[in-house]
Amino acid sequence: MSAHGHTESFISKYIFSQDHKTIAKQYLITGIFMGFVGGLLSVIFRLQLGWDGMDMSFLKGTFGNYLADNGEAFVLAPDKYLALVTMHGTILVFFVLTAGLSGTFSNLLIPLQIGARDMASPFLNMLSYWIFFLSTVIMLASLFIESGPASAGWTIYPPLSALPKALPGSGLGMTLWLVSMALFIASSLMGSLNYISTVLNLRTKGMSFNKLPLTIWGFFLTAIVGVLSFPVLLSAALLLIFDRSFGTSFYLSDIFLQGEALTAQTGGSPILFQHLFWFLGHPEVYIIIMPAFGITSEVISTMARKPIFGYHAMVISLVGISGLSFLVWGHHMFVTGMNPFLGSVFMIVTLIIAIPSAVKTFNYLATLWRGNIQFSNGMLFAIGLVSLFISGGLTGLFVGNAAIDIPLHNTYFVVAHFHIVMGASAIFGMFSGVYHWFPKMFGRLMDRRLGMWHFWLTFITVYCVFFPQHFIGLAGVPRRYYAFTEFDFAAGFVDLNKFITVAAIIGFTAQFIFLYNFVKSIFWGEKAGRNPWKANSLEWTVAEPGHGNWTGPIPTVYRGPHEYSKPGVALDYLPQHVSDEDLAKGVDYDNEQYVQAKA
Amino acid sequence: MSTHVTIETEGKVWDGRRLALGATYGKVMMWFFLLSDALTFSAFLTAYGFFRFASTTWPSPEIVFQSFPFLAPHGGWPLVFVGLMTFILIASSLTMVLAVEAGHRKDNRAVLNYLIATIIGGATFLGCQAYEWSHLLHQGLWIGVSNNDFQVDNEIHNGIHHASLDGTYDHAAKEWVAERRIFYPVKTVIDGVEWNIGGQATDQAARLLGPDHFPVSDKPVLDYNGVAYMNAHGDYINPGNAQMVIPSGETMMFGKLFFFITGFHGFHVFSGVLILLIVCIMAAKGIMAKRGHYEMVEKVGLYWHFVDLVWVFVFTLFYLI
Repeated sequence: MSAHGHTESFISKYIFSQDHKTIAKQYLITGIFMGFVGGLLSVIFRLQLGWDGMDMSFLKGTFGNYLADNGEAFVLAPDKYLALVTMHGTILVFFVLTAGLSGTFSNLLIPLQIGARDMASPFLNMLSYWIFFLSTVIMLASLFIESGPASAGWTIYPPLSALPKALPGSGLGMTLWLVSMALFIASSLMGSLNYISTVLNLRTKGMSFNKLPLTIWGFFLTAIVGVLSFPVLLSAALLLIFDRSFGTSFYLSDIFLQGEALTAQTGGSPILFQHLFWFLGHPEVYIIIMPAFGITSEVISTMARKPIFGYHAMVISLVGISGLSFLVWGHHMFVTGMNPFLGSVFMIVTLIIAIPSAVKTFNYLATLWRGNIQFSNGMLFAIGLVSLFISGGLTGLFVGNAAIDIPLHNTYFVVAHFHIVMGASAIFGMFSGVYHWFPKMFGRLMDRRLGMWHFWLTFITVYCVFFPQHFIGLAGVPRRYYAFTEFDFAAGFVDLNKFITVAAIIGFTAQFIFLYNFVKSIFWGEKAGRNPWKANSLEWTVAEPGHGNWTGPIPTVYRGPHEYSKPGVALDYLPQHVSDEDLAKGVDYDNEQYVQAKA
Repeated sequence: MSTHVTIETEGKVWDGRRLALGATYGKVMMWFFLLSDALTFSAFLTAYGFFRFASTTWPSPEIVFQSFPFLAPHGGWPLVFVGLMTFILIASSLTMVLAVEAGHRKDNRAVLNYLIATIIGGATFLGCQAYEWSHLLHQGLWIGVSNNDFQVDNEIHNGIHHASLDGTYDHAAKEWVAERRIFYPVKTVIDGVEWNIGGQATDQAARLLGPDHFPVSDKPVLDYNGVAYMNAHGDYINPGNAQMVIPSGETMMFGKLFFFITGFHGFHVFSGVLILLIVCIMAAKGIMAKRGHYEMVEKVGLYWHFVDLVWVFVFTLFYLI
């Protein structure tokens, strides 16, 4: 693109756009890009885990400073292994599954589904994306600096994160991480404030809270949880910045290395950081999974052509999960010397979360039960989410229990648990949303056959990668170890690790099918029309939404979003904007003229 | 509201009139922002509680905060100055309320005047805070240690211990302690004698060492709890108008938390003053009068009251208990 050919309108339309739909696409594309970066990092460290000491000279052109010369070959340096793990976690948790997922679908769907012309503050919305973009650039830049990126794990526990000389990545890399995250939190706050006030204030006539699509409930509660938990991470990060740069010691106590004090900064406590971090960290997993829940609810109901089973139970369990998410952070800290009584309180509250989670799972299954199931790509991924959430949720009962968690803490069992229940599940929710709402974003359908390949390869490889890790964890192998060959107790898993690595590479490669499908369908996909899935919610009343969404007045809402296969109604769907009078008159609401007249 | 009757089958229907809980979206946003900011402050105050509960001792606010510019620069007026600061800030909340009320009456002149009064209040508070900070800084209370300090610190620390063995301080140790008036928080036991506990010299130590061996010139020395343990002649004295001693890890942690949290609050006040200035200029230019509503004033008012409310907590934790 030439710098001179731009007109003002191009920039305001595609770059600094204030249109929520364009911002959603910007979030999505950034999220997909970051997803590939995060995935690529995991492939590199999986190769090291499968084939310890593997020659990685092929990284020389890009990540050359990650290599160490062991005399025979250029291998991945151990400290850079930690850096890769850290950046993989950070990118996937924050940049893909928080901003990529919530940013994309909250922006796209909130105004369209509640019947608003845009967000409450389109300007703030634009600012939110571009600050997020800046934080992305800074985080990516930290991959290429001489000393490497942050290496203290995505949880950045001090002292590794607080002492700039603790690891190569604890210096500039950690600083960039903190700067990037501070910007990310600001962006997330702006986004969340917009989502909340838009849902509260800008609903169209008739769109009361008991008629909101479950997607909106998911996004709304996610935004509230984000507004309440991210500021605490900001506090934790600010205190950390002061410890690193201004000589305070909030997180540092007496640290001795070979009898010599490492720092003058004493009197603090690294446990304080863990409390503050996990006060965000635990709600964060619900920030990740609740939008995916919302998407799944809509997709399953639409594609099973049935009302969602227990709409109110779904809403109440989402509210319950949101509330409980703030009371369970201690279950990440059972081994920090916590008073066992306090531990059991955290344990009980943690296990109570199983109730709303189970309510949701059973409601998904009950919605599918005897439904007229259409296996669209979105539906496949939605069902995939349910499967993964059950598999991962069951191990949640193990690690949530203090007595079992203490031996399993920091082993591969935990890695397996959270990758399935929150990582892969939420990714599946995201894919489900992309396939389902692609027609609303680009006016075209994604290729169904390629989507099938994408789904089955991803679904099978996710289980192949993470299911065996339960057994590695049960055998007591800790996570974040650079190699399995050095220890007798882990050496038995070398072959299994090769299998996992192969599965991970196939799974990562399968994502290129998605990428190809995504790009191809934007330009050459089958034209979707106004309502390809015959769905009920308001976004499907808009044909090719321009700025302002509806060309005419905004439709009024008369009914809930899930009236599929209603007895006594000829068609198997009944959109929210069809009034009872119109229905009694027998109007053909499938007809394009009717929709146009209403919208 | 119109008077026509609508038939509703499912209870109350959302009328899409764009007020949620009686508030416009701008105010909803501000409320949720304040909720978020409240959580940020809560995290800091929780950190304060975390350390406070873990400490066996804590500096006494009547000792730390007892000076008043010009009138009592060397202390003796405990908490008077901060009381004045708090009064100014609370008073600025009152003028803010009056500005909002004037906005409801659409009285541009009054809005402007009350906003200016609020700005003056906020700026005065910031000035007071600057004075207090620099005063504490002069007394040796600061947010952290630099690594250069650490080197000296360690040497002197060890020096004191070694010197104590034969009952004398070496010159460097004496100078160091005299300058900084530092005592260490740990219990030091040498040859079965407890020399100090938690930074406070024990009775035994005082008697064994005698007045010459204490780093005291002519001023009585207080420990950080405000208990004077001896005067220049080695006698125990009561708390008086003596200068504060800066000792120990707990005091260091007090300093770190104090400067960090009041600094973060001060940053909020500073931002508030800036936003008030902007709104003030808008009012002066008649922008809000042209708009026909003064919602900007209301929103900045919400923020200003929040900052004041946070100060009440900060004040309670650092100055009262």
